[in-house]
Amino acid sequence: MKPLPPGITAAAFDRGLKSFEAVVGKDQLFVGDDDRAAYEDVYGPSMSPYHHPSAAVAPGSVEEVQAIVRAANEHRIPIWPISRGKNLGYGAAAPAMNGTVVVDLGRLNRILEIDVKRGYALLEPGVGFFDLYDYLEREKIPLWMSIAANAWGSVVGNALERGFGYTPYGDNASQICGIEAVLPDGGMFRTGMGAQTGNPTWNLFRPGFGPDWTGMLCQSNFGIVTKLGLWLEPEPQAAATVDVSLPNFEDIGWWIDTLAPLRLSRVLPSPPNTGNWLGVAAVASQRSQWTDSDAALTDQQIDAIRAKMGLGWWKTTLTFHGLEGAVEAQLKATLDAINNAGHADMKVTRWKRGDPPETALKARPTTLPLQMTNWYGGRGGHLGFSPIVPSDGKICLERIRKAKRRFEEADLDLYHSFTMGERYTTSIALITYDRDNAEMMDRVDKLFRHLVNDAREEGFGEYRTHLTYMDEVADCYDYNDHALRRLNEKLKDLIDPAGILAPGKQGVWPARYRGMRG
Amino acid sequence: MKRTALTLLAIGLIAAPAASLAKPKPAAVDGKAAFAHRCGVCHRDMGMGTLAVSRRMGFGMGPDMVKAWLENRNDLTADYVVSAIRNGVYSMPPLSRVEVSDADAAAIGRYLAKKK
Repeated sequence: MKPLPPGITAAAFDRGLKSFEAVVGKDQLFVGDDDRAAYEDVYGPSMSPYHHPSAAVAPGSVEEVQAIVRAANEHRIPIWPISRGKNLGYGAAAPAMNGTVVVDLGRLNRILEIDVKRGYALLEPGVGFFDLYDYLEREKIPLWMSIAANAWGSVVGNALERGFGYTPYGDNASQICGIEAVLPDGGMFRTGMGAQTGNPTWNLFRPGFGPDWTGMLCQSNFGIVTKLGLWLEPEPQAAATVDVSLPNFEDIGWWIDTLAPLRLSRVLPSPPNTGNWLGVAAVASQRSQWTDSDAALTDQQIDAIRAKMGLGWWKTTLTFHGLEGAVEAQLKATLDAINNAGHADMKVTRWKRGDPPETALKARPTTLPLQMTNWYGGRGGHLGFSPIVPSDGKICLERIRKAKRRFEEADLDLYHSFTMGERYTTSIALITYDRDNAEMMDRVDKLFRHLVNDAREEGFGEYRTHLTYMDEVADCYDYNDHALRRLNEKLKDLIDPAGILAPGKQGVWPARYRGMRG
Repeated sequence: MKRTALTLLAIGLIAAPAASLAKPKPAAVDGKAAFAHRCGVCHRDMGMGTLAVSRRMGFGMGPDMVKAWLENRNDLTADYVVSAIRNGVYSMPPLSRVEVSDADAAAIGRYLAKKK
């Protein structure tokens, strides 16, 4: 049954839809059950009572986005913008609040500009990783991309959600330079140097003059991004990778402590993601091949699987890009540090300009890691729990020990990885499941809430989370009686007095719907 | 403002009209191109879809996996393909009409059913 937005009558909702139809035409307004199904949380629990959209509308221009926002204000219809709706594991295309109308920006799919000399792209939100990669390859443009593990999604959407790749440009949000956004009242503005008409440095210098709104538009319900400048990496002279396997569970401690100073000094220029054995096993096999038991895999079973598949406990790839001499120096310093600290199986691969292009050690888009969702069979999905912690081996080892216990209590198999920034590490517990198994989904929910609380007790919070847990995670940010949330919501009420734009996004609720906070 | 390279490019196989008021007669969709663009990310080479289908068909991850490429199969009907796009199959979610238009879906169905 189609949910209505809270506080909106069926008649008022229909008037709102008619106003949207007047903007985009009948063909780009989607109200049928099968259409709405495509905007559900397709990786979340299928029986969830939350996050069901009432309809979707697809503008084909910035002007149409503005017109839809104005119509939403007039009819007080809450709307939820998506780029391509592939925020899998965090809610996909679905809204936080039942009945919200999805604004699908997938038709805004132009690569507006590629500047080779200055190394950036100006993109619309509907451009996918595959689209941009194919274009750069086809046109032989010597710019390399940072690509998310799930490359099905939007380049713009991923950067705005603070996603990661694994190259020197891997902190995708940090590469944003220049945003055009539609405000909750239908107005439009540009950030930074774009605030000056015709300024050619819009996509070169991010801050501009005065407060910088770039961060205000990330994971935000303050505006709808319609254009985004993103820095791309000039093709390096040389590159090298080190594929690493660590044999033991406890190795993560010395491993983190060894890499931390290398990351801090940028000897290791890219953020490595060190994940456990299940990351490989769940892509290459299914659980039913190894056990009939519903209980979490025992250490003995895990050892048997690893032995059969030739896997260590941890696996990662270190990536170096730059001048040939610099890459060799960084590589040597890194290998020396690792060899002095502990035992790791390592395989080095090198590439330099002039070698066959198909062997270039550049990021390439793939959807293969999503195969992990099929570990349990059925219609699979996954949920990521990702608190930020200091790059400290003792802390990371304690986190993985605690996560392992929690997963075992929940009778779920542990997948855990650590992505290392220059000063922090993202500690990622990925829960895979059969989304149609209600009993399993109940265990998943309880596990997730335990993980949130455990991290909170240690003083840590997530950088990103699924729709269902946005309020709970936002509540962790409690300094001075949740001063940051109060500031965000004060601003929200000023610029979105009708409370129409993405209510509940990241736990920021407009006054009109503040009672919906979970 | 001087740019090193200025490119205006519509990613879609058929460029969306600049305004919804403009409704030109739809051009014929190339099913192979539409498949490559809309489905190839998962259903070619080492995509998730290829691996998932290969596993269900009993080909595993070995050299026979190529038999699971949708383009290499001869048991697909156009109706089934369109239904899979709209309703999803196992972990493949339903795809919206923005991502795959009805015209694209029909052309992809005809293309994959070509061996019937």
